[in-house]
Amino acid sequence: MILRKLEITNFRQIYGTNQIEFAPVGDRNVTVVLGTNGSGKTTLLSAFMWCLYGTVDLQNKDELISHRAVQDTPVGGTVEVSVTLIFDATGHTYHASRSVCMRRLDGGSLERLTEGKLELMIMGADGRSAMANEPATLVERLLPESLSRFFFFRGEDMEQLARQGSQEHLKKGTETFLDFTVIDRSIKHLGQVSDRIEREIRSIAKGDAKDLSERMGQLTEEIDDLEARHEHAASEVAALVAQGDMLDAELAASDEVRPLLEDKARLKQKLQDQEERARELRRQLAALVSSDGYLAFAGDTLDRPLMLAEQAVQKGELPAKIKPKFVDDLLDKGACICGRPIDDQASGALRVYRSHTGLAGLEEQIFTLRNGVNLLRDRRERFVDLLHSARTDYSVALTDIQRTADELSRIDSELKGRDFGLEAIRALQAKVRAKSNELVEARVLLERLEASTAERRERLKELEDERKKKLGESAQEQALTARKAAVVAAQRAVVRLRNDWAALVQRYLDMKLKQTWDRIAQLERLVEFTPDLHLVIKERGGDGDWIASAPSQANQRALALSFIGALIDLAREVAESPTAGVASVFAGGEYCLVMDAPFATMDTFFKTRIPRGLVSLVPQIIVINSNDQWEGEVASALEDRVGKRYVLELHKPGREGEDRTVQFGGRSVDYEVAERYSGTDWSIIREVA
Amino acid sequence: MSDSRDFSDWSAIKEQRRQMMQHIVSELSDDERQVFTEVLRLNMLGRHQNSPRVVQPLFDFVSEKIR
Repeated sequence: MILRKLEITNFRQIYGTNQIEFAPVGDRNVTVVLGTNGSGKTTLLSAFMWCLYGTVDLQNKDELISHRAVQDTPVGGTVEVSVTLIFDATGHTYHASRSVCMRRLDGGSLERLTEGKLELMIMGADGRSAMANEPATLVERLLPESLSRFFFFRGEDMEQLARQGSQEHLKKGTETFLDFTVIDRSIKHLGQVSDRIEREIRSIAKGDAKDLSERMGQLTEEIDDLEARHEHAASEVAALVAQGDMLDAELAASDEVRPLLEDKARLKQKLQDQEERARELRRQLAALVSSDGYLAFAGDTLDRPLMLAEQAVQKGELPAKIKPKFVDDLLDKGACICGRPIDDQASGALRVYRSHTGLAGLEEQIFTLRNGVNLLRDRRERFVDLLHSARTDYSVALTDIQRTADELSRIDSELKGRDFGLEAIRALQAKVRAKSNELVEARVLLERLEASTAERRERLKELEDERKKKLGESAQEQALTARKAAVVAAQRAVVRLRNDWAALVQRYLDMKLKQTWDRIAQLERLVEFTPDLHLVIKERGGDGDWIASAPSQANQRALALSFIGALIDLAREVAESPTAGVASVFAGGEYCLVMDAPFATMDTFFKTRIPRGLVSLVPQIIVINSNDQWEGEVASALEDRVGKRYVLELHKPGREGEDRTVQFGGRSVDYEVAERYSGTDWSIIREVA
Repeated sequence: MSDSRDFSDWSAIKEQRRQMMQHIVSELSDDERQVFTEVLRLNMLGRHQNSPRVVQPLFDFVSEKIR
């Protein structure tokens, strides 16, 4: 299936009628569509699926239609959503088209007027055209829906394909791809014919043969019941494997970051302690400044009074010749120290003398002050020492905090959003253990069911042999028995054919996968498509042996893309080598690849190799991605293979000046356009010539 | 780089399949072989069709061939 053209009208975000003409097979076989988040990249992928299969992942079917188109439609008016895909396959050109017409009702709701049936027009090489009678059946033959995920995919679904739980999908996909359908239907049809013959045998059996037939009927019912339970149990096991796989992947990712998380937890505690110490030091510093800080500003205030007193001593003004208290005592007693009374005249003289004793008071004060000043001087020295030490400690604490914060920042950048938290990891481990136990129980049940079924089948065969002996000699009974035996034997042979053929295809696909990996990834890894249909990637261990590893997202995506590349290469090979005969109905052919953000999680290594490798393998590629995902390595790898370029130009409510342009194909193109008067987002597809 | 296996191309696979088919068919009786071939033929003809279009002709074929 090679795409020619896509025409979209009012499909979800995409407003109006828009077209994409795809780059054809050849040297420039790549079509690139750029679109920012919300511009409708996934919508574009959905448009293919809706057109071909009528499937779209929407809860509300009214969401199918562009809001902007509905806004433009008056109440009572009609609006149409349609997608047309023109493609080449099996030597013809096909126009597949699906459309739905809706009427806008009062209140804003929509009434669906048509159901959106697929129409398929086939154009032959001679220019004649015809409408397909069973368009859905024909599309299913050209590209079965079960295979569509291999050719129209979102990048984020790729990792899923490389996970263990995807084997059912891989099995179904590869078997559909190689037309096991014919074989599987043959097995089923032989079973139905055998049942019909069995019913005829029972209707004519008599006596013991009739009893045996009834017992056989019961056993068959039991076997049917066991098989139904087996099918259910097998899907349970597959689901548990898938869930376990997801948990393992999460755990592997968490294992990788565990040492970092432990470091982070330790550093966070350290940072907390350091911050607490810094706060304590700052408190101490504040208390010190609050109690003794004034001493730092006292300057010579403490020294000056002592200096003045010293000058007074040097001048002989100090010490004072007499103490005022001595004079006061004499005056209080009214007598001299010799006992003679002090008369008024002497008292007056003493009072005059007393007025001259101030310096003695000063001297006392100075002695007191000197002691105080000395104490304060000591205290100031201690304060200065303590202040220096506290400031140093505080500064060291701040440096420690900065260092720890830097370490934490480094760990955060290494974690890159993988910060699960140790608690979450422990919870995850518990979940993995529980899931593993559930899986063991489910597998035990499966084995028991298998054993019970095998036992009943054996018994059924014994009863059938016994009945053969009891059946009459009539030609009719003999013929029926012979018919049933032939049908059962043919069914066994087809089952054997299926198993052998499946094993052969698996081995061949394994080889193709290895070749494709070497061609597009060019990285020393052992990739395998295993007999139980898993995609596995191994790397060399320390002793040189290949060991299975928990692959990174980039490795998983590269592995899935290699597998799809292998399928596409195989389809081409089959088409180039047609064959006639039984079970060779798969014609093969050329297949395109439509990818939404395929290289998003890849590192530089893969971004430079995978696109280049794919383009050499796949006849036509359509890459839908954002400018961020495109520019750089991917653009460099594919630039000379790009044949067509388009932009999903997003219009969204905004102010003037909020427009955004990007460089694409050497031109500046509108990427986001701010609409002042719009209440909704919408996109148009613009070709970049 | 990765291992390679023992298939050169799709033709080698086809040859293996042909041999495999031959072997399976050689172990069947004439009646069984005819039923085996017929069911695959009918399904290849009507690969996009549903079961009743194969089951009835197959039943008739078996009834006709084995009397």
